[in-house]
Amino acid sequence: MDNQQTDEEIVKIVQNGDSESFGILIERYEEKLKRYARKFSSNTEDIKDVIQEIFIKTYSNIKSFDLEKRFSPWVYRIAHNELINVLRKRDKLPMPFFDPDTIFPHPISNEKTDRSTKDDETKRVLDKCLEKISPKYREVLILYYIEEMDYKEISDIIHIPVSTVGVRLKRGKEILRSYCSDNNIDYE
Amino acid sequence: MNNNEEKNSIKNEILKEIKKGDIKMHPKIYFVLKSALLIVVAVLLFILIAYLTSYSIFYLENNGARFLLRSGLGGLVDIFHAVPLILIFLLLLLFYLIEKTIKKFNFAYKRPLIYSFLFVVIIAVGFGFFLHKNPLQKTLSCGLPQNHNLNAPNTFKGEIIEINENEIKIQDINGEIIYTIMPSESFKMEERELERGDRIIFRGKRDDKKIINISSFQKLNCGCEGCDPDDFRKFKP
Repeated sequence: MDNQQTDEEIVKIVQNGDSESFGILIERYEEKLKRYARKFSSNTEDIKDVIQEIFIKTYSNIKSFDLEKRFSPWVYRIAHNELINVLRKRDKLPMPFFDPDTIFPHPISNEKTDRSTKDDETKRVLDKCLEKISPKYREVLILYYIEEMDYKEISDIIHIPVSTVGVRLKRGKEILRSYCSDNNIDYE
Repeated sequence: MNNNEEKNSIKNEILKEIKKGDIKMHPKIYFVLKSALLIVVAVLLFILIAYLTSYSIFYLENNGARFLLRSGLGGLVDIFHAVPLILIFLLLLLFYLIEKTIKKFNFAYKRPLIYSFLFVVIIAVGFGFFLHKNPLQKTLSCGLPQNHNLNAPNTFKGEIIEINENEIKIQDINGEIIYTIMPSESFKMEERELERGDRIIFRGKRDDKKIINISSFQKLNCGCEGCDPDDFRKFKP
């Protein structure tokens, strides 16, 4: 199998019945998804189970994947749902019907245009202070700064409007800044 | 287990289970049916909301909502009281369910929730008004009991049990008999077509003899009995 093939090309082969090729997708995404999951849980066994479940669901639902779209946000969407389930079970998180951030329209922030050295700084601080930020803001910060996804991809993964992604990023950074200043951590 | 072994273990375990047939790909038709089911559920919920909305409008009209609207704040409170609580809870539950269902569609999350929610409310309520004249509404609404007390000041309702010239004896929902007088100079009984058994809502003040001088009234259950709900009369003082 050509390792230069895109994810979407491999998905097409899997959809057509070559299940062995699914192994390539596992190889490509296992580490990324583990890194993503580790930001929400430190329990190694939990992470292994979640990753397995993510791949099982990916395989079961692979025929619903639209080949015109990118595979990466799709698989992260499955991971997002699995991690939410784990957090709900473990931390007994309430299941809010309405998240105020998603109810009303927000102006789209211009921050997305300046991915720069500032972002490396945020990434560094984020690793130190991640646990101090609620999962709602944490996830957007991880997807943007660590997984380096754009607003549209994050919106497709979490199923929130693009403008809400901007709002959560902004608030997440404010929380980060405030925590850093309270704990004498150098940030900006 | 080192990192490479662990990596291979997840990959190998999953591929082994796929080969054994423990993990299977859902066929395309599964997703088509799932989407179709979602659409059917959304449409059914929508129809139910529209129908219940229309039912509420019909019910309120039959119970003097227009009359109560002319009775100030107390009248507004009465309008809320007039809708059976179960209907309000049912409508709220249906709005919750339809919002949950709509959120499952890919187009829904791209816009703030308020848009899809308002869209559903406006369309369903609009459709509810459209259904308002449906004969089935009559059958459902007319059978419902109207057993709440009114909060609007000097406003009463009950069933006519006796008519003598301009004096009308009315029994309210608590079984109490109310003696009322219609102003004879501006009221001709035969023109109003009031008769024993009619349910009316009326406003007026009690005099020293505890007789209520009716200043305005409206027949209830017009949608059920064929009278005009706009046939409202206010007497000159």
